[in-house]
Amino acid sequence: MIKVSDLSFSYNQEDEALKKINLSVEKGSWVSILGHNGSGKSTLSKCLVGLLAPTSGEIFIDGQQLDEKNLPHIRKKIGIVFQNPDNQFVGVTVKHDIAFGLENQCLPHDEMMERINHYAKLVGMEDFLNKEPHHLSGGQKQRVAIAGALAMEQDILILDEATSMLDPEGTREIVELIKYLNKTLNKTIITITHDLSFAGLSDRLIVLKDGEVILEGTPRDVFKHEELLKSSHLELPFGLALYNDLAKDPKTDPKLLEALWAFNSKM
Amino acid sequence: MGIQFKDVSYAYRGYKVNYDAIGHITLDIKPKGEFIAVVGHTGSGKSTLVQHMNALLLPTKGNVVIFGQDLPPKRHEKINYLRQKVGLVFQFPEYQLFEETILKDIMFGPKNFKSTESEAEVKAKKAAAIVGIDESLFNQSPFRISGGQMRRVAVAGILAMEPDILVLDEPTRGLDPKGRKDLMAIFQEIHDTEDKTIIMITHDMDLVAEYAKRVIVLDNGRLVFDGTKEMLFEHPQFDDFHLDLPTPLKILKTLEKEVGLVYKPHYDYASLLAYLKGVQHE
Repeated sequence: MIKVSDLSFSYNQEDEALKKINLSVEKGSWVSILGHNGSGKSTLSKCLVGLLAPTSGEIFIDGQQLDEKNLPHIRKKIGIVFQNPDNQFVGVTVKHDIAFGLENQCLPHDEMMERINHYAKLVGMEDFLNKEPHHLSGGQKQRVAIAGALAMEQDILILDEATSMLDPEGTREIVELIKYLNKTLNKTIITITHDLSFAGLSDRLIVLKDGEVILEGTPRDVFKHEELLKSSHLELPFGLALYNDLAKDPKTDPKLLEALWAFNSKM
Repeated sequence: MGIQFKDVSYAYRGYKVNYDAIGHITLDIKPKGEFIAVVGHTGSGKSTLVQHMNALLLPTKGNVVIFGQDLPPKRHEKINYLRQKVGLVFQFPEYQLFEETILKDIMFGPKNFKSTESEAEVKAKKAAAIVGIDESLFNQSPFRISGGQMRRVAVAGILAMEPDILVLDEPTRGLDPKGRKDLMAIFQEIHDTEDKTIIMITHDMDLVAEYAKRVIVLDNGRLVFDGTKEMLFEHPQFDDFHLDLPTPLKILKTLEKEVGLVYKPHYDYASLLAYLKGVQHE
């Protein structure tokens, strides 16, 4: 489980990117951190994996405080996948790319190959092991990046806008994979996103605006606050806005509302 | 005038084999008043198609005619000027920003087309105003602004060349919903006020439903549909195109299946809401 208390971070002296953030993420849950461009959501994800050191405040992961001393231990618990599939492909082939993290851990060759094969299969890329990145679609590259993170066998996986550069088909591939990792493998998932319909698939939402948490709760509760979301430059997607507008009308058939909600809950 | 494709094919030359990207495309695009969406799966030839529209690619077979200029050219004519007449905004155009300041970056295009320094500056300032880049940013580096602003600076660089036709390759990809809406509003405004023809590649059927008048569908390099968006989305063989429906139509289909609502196509939010409310109140 992750616990963040009074976390602040600033890139320069003038303004704070994160202002006294408090939040917790339960083991095995899927939480989305929502926010507009510049809301501090990526800064927060970088603090969580120890890429940025907080200016003040504390982060605990499974009871261990994230600090310089504990960082090597924490890195074994938490992994991250970034937005751009092209910028994080480091290997010459799929196989080498998945191996990158494992090589850094100095794993024996046999065990490394075992893990590469296992996780390539898990993300459905086992037939592409010797392919070069330019032969892959965006969704496929992103699945390789996820396999690389999974191969490190951490319990917590952060996906920072991992679908925003993909086409609808690529996005659907990644959504299915995330569901599997969360529900079947019981991984704790944190997705950083500005896409409300994507965030709506997770168990809980945390909404950031200008470096502060302004809303928290289940998608159903959070999406009721349409005005507050709008003021945070987060527009409700078509189907959710329609749901809200119809829910306000007492004559609306509850069955129709339920069908509309169910529609919004899948992508 | 405008752009005509006459039985156009294009093959990329590969090692040993040539790879057919598009084949036997015939099209007629008017110089004014069109808003066309080009859709189709990744690898269907969309980008290859639009790169013919300003002579970045020349057909391997067939003919493209841009504002009366035959391509490939019959004699050794200069075709460079066509790239000013048809402005192409690439995918992720912000990756191509390079100048020291935002204003200089926007001026680069017109200067390449023989505008003097002061003419280029006038054009750049006008383009910046259209995309909503404030004067106070002109002397800043284009690398120290937000992603959404960078995208708009890159678009301004094309607008400053004052093209007659604007071609956009996935203009909103990677932007957040607010950035997407703002940018589309800019293109809509240009289309409405100047009656400029806009051709836009997109994967987002909601953008097609909201903005496009005409849709071109490519599948495996072949043109499989060319008509109005209503004709496309209400096509009896729509499933054969392997495209998504726009959200409002998806909702209507779901409600038809789940609660027996009568399916009637509505493309925009207001008319769908009014329809659903009307049905309830009966």
